Amino acid sequence: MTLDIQNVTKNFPGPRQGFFGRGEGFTALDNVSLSIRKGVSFGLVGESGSGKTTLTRCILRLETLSAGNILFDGVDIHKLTPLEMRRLRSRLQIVFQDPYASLDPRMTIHDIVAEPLVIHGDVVNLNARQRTERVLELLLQVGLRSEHLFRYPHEFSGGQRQRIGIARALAVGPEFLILDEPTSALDVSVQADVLNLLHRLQEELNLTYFFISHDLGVIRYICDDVAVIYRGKLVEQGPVAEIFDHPKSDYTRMLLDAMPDPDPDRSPFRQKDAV
Amino acid sequence: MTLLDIRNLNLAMKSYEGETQILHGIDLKIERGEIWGMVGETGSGKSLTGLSVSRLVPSPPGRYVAGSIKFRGKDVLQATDREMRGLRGRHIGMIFQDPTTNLNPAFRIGTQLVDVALHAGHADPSVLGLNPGASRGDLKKAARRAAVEMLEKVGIAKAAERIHDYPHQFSGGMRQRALIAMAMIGKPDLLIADEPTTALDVSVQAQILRLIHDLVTERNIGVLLITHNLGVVAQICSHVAVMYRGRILEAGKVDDVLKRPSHSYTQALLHSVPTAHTKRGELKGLNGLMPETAA
Amino acid sequence: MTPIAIPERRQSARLENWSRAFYRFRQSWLSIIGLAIVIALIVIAIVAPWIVPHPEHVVGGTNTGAKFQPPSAAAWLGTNALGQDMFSLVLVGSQVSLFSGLAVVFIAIVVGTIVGAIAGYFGGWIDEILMRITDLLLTIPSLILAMAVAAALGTGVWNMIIAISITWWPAYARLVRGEVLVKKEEQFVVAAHALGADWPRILGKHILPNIVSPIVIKASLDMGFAILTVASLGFVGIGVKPPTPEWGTLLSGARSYMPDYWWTAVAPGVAIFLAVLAFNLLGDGLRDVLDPKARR
Repeated sequence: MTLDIQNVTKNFPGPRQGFFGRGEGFTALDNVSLSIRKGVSFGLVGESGSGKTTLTRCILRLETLSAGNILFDGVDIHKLTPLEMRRLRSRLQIVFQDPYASLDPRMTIHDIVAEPLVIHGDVVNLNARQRTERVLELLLQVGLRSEHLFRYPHEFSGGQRQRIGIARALAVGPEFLILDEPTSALDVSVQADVLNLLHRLQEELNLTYFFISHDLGVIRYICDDVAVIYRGKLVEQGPVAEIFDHPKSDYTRMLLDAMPDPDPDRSPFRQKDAV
Repeated sequence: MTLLDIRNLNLAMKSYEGETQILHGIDLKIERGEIWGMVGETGSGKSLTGLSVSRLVPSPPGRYVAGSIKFRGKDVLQATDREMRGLRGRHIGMIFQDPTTNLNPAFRIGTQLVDVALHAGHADPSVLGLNPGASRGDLKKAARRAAVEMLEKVGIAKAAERIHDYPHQFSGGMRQRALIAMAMIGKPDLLIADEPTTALDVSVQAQILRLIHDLVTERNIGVLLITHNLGVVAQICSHVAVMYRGRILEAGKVDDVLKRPSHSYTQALLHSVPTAHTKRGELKGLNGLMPETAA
Repeated sequence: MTPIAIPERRQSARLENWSRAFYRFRQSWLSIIGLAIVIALIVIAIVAPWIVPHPEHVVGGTNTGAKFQPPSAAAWLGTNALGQDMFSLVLVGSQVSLFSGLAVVFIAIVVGTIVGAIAGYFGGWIDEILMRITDLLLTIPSLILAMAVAAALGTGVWNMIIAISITWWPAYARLVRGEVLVKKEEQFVVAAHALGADWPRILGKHILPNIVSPIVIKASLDMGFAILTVASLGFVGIGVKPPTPEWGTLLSGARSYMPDYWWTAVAPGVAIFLAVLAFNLLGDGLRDVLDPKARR
């Protein structure tokens, strides 16, 4: 077992009203439990406001929990000291949705990818020269070229930037990657390349993926298991083929129906026209 | 008469590097009742084509090198600013991707709708169901009525009450509906929708697409739907044009283009969308076939 | 694996960025005029003591025989009540104005950035305390405070600079706090958190470098007002002591001789006007370059 989310609940307090009162709070996650086995890619599907992002922020300990536990290899993440948590971050990394916003525009690609190596210097212990070599190795691994090393993010296309984000996440050799909608800001053609890259990396580096997306096609393509989240609650979870072919909940069925299929014959509108 | 007839449209843009040509000889004809999908990747020029129809490309830096855009027989590129203002909103409706930035947060939804309706009504009272020479008061009353009706039409419950809401009180899907209402209230002949559902959830997307589809059947208008989503095109479009780097590579009926694509780029684009049967690792990107544009 | 050659760091990328920025700056001829005047001012301030026709007048020398000469070939901007060459005085007067202006803006940026960054980053009660102090100082008019400081500590350039700075840094603190609050939520900052970066690194490496633009823009716009404030203090007799020439003092000295000897007032007046205008134009131009969204 790699990641075990047990009965996690997250409430956000309501807005302040007057001196003492508070408005009605908001439950972003309601008793969510799921476990991700080592080496699989686990998909989480949900629409905006479903609590997907809050869950990743809880896993990364960017938010505190209202109730429940998150165990990584049996260790409760939210009970670690700051130093232990920093150590753990080198094993658990994240790739963000928006490749335009997640890279510091004033840093070179070299500095961006090398940053985790600097921060986790006590674990990886490389000198400046070795760091640069490691960065180069990573860039080549994600399909970029060595001449990209000292360029700035704005000189790259969306797909290339997302590769930079992946290289940064892989820098310290993590076992577990959270992929927060890594392809939703990309063109479909570029998306395909990035998905294939992720698949290749998973096999080469024996990674575990927690893949968050609203795109069911992408989840079906890349994931082994999937959980569907709606308004902070898990609606159902299980192997991808089972959930997609025999959805149990109405919500999942609705999501599957609403997904636009690139086959014109499957269009609900056009069938109606033909009649 | 053809509703929209774009011929040999060539657009150049001036920047630090000098002038670069963005659109290379775009040809496109849209008739009433047709929904044209325009697909392409980021930077392919699909949005600039849409903006050109309402002549919303700032100039400079934009410059039309050659070509014409005939809307109901009249070239919009030659029209005066006054004529253009008359066309926008009244005859050509526009919907953009991000509903938040295209509604003014300081005004009520109703106020913004009524404004557009009045603008159209002043030019042509029949839009609001009035006779020529209708009084100012009548126009206002009719505009308010039209605003409520239009909001109802786009599926906003209790429209008569919600009309007093501010944009922030609407959800993302409702804002996009409000924008469609705004684009449709002048009873345009042509609707240009630039990625109207990209920022929305799939469930809301399905509703918005149905709405656009129903408007076309009901009012017999023409639609130019700009999107990167081939699924959306397959669902509601009658025709599709595939754009790549400022050129239309292939255009025609959706059934022909999506089922029997003749251009290798279209084929590759179709293969890059994962379907239920795609085995992991077998998805084909465009790597090698078409290089990524930047750097 | 086989070793890979590490490519050279490209200086040309930086150079190209600068040249791109200048291209945008060039799009407005007003900005170019502003920049030209500012550069001219700085050059003049540096070389003034060596190029003025009458250096002796600048250090207090007088020539009462030639008082109130109108502008002529001998004295381009005429002479004042003491027969001193106005051209020499105005030229050297730029030193005090520019220096005090720069010093005020510099102190305000340093103090304001530190306070604003800490308040914005940590939030909570730290933010409350720092921002209430800031608000309090914002309510004090800088002229009055400067007069009080002058009364308590005596007049002098440094007392004046400190007095103005005390009332100026809060504006930077508020600006920086606001920018930090926005940048704190940016994804690349969240990414740095997720990587395990500590707060000095996040603030120093990720947030502050990304908010330099608004600070630079504000500083440039403020330079004009700083020069104006320094001149106002000179006008009411606080700040630089004679004989050191200063635009506000010169203007004040000319007050009693208006309108007959108008040139004694026009010369420093135009100098102040040009300096303030130039920094404002430059600031606007910089805003176009650094923050294209705020245009118009």
